[in-house]
Amino acid sequence: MKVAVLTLFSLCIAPTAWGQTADAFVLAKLFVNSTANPQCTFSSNDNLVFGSAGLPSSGTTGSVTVSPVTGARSANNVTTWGTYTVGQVQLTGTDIGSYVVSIFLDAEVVHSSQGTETLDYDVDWAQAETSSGSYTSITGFSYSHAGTARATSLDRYFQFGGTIGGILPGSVTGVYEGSITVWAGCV
Amino acid sequence: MPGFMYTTANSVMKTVILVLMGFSTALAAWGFQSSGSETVDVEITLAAPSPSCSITLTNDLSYGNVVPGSSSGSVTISSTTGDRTHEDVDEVSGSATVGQVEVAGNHGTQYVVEPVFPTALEESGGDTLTYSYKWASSDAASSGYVEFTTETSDTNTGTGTGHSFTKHYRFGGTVSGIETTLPTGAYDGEITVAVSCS
Repeated sequence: MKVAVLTLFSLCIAPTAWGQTADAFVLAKLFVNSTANPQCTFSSNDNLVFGSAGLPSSGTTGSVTVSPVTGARSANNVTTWGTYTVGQVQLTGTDIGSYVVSIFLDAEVVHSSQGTETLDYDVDWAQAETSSGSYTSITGFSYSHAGTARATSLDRYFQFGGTIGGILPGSVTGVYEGSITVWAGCV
Repeated sequence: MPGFMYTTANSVMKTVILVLMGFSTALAAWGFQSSGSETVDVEITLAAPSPSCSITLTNDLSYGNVVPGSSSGSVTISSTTGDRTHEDVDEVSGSATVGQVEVAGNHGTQYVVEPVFPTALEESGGDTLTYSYKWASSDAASSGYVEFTTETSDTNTGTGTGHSFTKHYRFGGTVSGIETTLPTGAYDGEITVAVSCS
């Protein structure tokens, strides 16, 4: 974002006592401030929904995985059904040279009405330049991009999946919930 | 990876404080000129789904055309192979198909298939031909059928949640009492096949 600063200098010179005359000048100056004003914001496109899963058979532990790269759901030792969606947020910005995206979450999801009941949650995430583009996995909990030049506009998409595990034959049925906080800093 | 980024439930309150401190520290130290955040909700539903089952008609049972002979005759369709055979009739023609249905289900511990057979096929004028049924089942649609002997229903067990069930049933049998004294025309009957699951 560019900022224009217009400064007006005015000068009024009175005639002297010696009958001399002089011109009056009005100077106008324009300073253009080229300091960048980076802005970045997130918008949430989809929450991460694993759908429904049955309980595993006796003696086994089940898990359900949603791939952040493909959006596909898979399962071990449990049957899954119902709608599932990969989580997705969009990072948009202007005048951005570099940015960092970090995620914060708990390592479990909690039963919606019985807070002591939990399931393990292990996040996987990925990023792409377009919503339906080719997503690349991100390792760890931070992703950074160091630009060589400022981008007048930035669009990045981050998808969230992962694995919910620890599903036991005796697990309490119902809805388990958690959240991922996604944060970005831009310069 | 900063330690505050991944926590356990036992440190939820501590986590909030650390995270907030982390944000402000990061902003100041790294000199970010803009920042934003968003929350993605995570959800899974664990459930013991209700058993469900369905039945789909694959083929009606059709004996084709038959010309009576000099004595009472019969036509038979094998419930295992679908082959048509006949006795004491002058001629059979037209296509013959064995009756077939597909039964499917999910999440059940028991799937019971119970057909109800007619005892006769009836012509529009009320004349009848005797029908004696045969039926068979297989896991595959087109082969491997084993005929039931005296059973009038078929009970299949499942493992409950997550169990998926598919089985195919064929229906044939013998139409007898085909005589020249009977009126010509179509003789119809109806086999009702029901499936229940629990």
